[in-house]
Amino acid sequence: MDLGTLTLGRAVLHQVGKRQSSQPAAAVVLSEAEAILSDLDKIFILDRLVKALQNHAVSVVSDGEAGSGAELIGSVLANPDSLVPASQGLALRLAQTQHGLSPEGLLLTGEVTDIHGVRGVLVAKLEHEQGIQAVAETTSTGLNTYSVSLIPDLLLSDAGKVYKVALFPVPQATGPMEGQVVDRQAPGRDVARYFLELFLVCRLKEQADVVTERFFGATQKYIARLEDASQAAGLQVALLTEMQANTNSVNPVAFARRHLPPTAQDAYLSWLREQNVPPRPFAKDTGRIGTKISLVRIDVEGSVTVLAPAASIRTEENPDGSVTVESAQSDTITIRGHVTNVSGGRRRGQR
Amino acid sequence: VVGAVGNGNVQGALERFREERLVLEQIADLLRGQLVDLIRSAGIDGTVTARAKDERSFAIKAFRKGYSDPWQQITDKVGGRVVVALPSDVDVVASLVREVLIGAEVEDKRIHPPDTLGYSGVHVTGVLPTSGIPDDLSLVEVQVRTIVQDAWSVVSHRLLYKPLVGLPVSEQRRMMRLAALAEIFDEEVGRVITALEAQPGFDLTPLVLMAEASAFDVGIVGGDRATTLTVLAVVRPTLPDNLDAYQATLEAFVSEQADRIKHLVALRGGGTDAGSLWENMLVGQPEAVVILERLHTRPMELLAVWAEADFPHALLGPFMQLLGVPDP
Repeated sequence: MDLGTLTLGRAVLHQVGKRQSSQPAAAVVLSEAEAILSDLDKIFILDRLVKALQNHAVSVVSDGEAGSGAELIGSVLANPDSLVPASQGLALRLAQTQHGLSPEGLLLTGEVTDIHGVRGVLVAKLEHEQGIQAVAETTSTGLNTYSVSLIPDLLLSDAGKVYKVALFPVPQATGPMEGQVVDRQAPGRDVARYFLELFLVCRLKEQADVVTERFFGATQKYIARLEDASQAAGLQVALLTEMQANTNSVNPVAFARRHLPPTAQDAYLSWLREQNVPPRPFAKDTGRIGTKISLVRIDVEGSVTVLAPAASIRTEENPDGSVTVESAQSDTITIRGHVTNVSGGRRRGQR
Repeated sequence: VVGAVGNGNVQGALERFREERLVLEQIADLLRGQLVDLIRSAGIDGTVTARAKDERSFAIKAFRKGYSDPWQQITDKVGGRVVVALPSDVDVVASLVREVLIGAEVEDKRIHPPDTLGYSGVHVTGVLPTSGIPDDLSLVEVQVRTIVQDAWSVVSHRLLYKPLVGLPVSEQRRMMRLAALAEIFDEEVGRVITALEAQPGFDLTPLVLMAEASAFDVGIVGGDRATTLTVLAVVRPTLPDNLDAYQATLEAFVSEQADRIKHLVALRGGGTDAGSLWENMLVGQPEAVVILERLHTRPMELLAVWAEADFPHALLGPFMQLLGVPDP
């Protein structure tokens, strides 16, 4: 769907409470009719949800399980008249599947259409936020002042985050239903914990290790194209650091901002798109590139240290006993000396 | 003044002129094309004409001037004229023409003795580079004038030179006043232009006009000029130096995205409910099309200059959403 041109049509809201450990499901207060929303309300709500989708969504595929959230969404896509009862079913399912740490909130189920006429169904859990409201008043003695009060049940404030959103368009072909899902509380593989796997019953369309490998490979190719050797070296180190960092997601835009000048960031992100790597954050799984990112440290007498990816080091083809470090660049550095220590070769956390 | 009537050189020159007439017309065409390219590449507004002298004018000039070698001495057998709006452009164009013509000689006709009537432009004479045509054929004269100088030239020619009888002194004085008026007009225009160019934001004028023209195509009309100038001053460093080339880029982008931009404007532009939200304040502004094009082509560069200017990031929200630009 063309997310940038979506408009929100009818929508239904249900309250889903916090699940107590002693209860099989959270308390639910079901609506019996569509929510009353002005055009401005719809734009305001949709802006926040689309922003979350554009920046954090992953592509998913429905497992086609009967009674799943995805199936209920599919029923609305097939029969728009079922919006209210299907949304009630979604709220009940969320109440059953969400874990005890999930805060209470409102589940929104709405119809959306893009500029090309493609219809879809949007499901989002809107969690309550708090804010302060200040109202100008006049005291009994005629002095101007403000009356301040805490508003505990705000929704979708400018600074607030939308944690769980799912968008499914009308399927264009037969086969499993595909959509996009956001889960900012549990980025990466944890997205499947309950919202994706238990509530919607979907799986990631593309596994995290595949996307991570593609990002790594595309960035390596980009580095090889750089003419500025110091920029290339800096980016190479940054890439290895990013891959080895103790984080479970990669944000290519943030990576570009941290490690490239503004004039080069656009070229890099365009290159990633050409290489079919999404610019938005994706779950990191380095399982397929382990040997490429694990660094070997070779200490040579004279306080010289060589740090290189394990996969780039060859020794068996060199009869003179020298060590060759292959790189994407064609530069050659020769170091002669007695090797005092060799260590590493494993990713952090590996033993 | 009548020259050496009956001079055999005149007859010979006239015969040569008749023989070479077609070649001279070809050279006039070449000259016209070169002058058009010249002022266009310099970004100057002006009109260009070029012609080969007609036979009668050539003959009259040869007789009247009493030249010993009319063929060589009549330098405007092929003549071009460039008429520009601004007095300062006369010098620019004359300088460009001088660079093009081989052995160019410049005659500044703007300055006359105090007791002489006249207010003309600059004449540049030289050989137009051509392949295989002798220099005496490709010798050309190019007159560079302002619109006012051109007007004075036409009027004075008609009133001073064509009449068979001379003007009374009182009428000559009137002509003198007209010449002075024309000169003052150009000088004052020059002063106003200089003052205008010193105004803040003047260098953004072409970009503002470009944005307004493209924005009009997607239903954005009007807007607050001061805001447009403020925003475009920040965006300008991300654009190519050559704005003429950028115009084609902007027009192509707006044409390609027209339906989507119209959708955005219809939903969030001025006069809509959503238009009242402060984050949509730039949607109905002409600079919106430039912001969108930059976010499409160089999003990170635009975001960098935007942040550096300390502009609210939220103002880019509607545009980033339309284009699906990831928000870092």
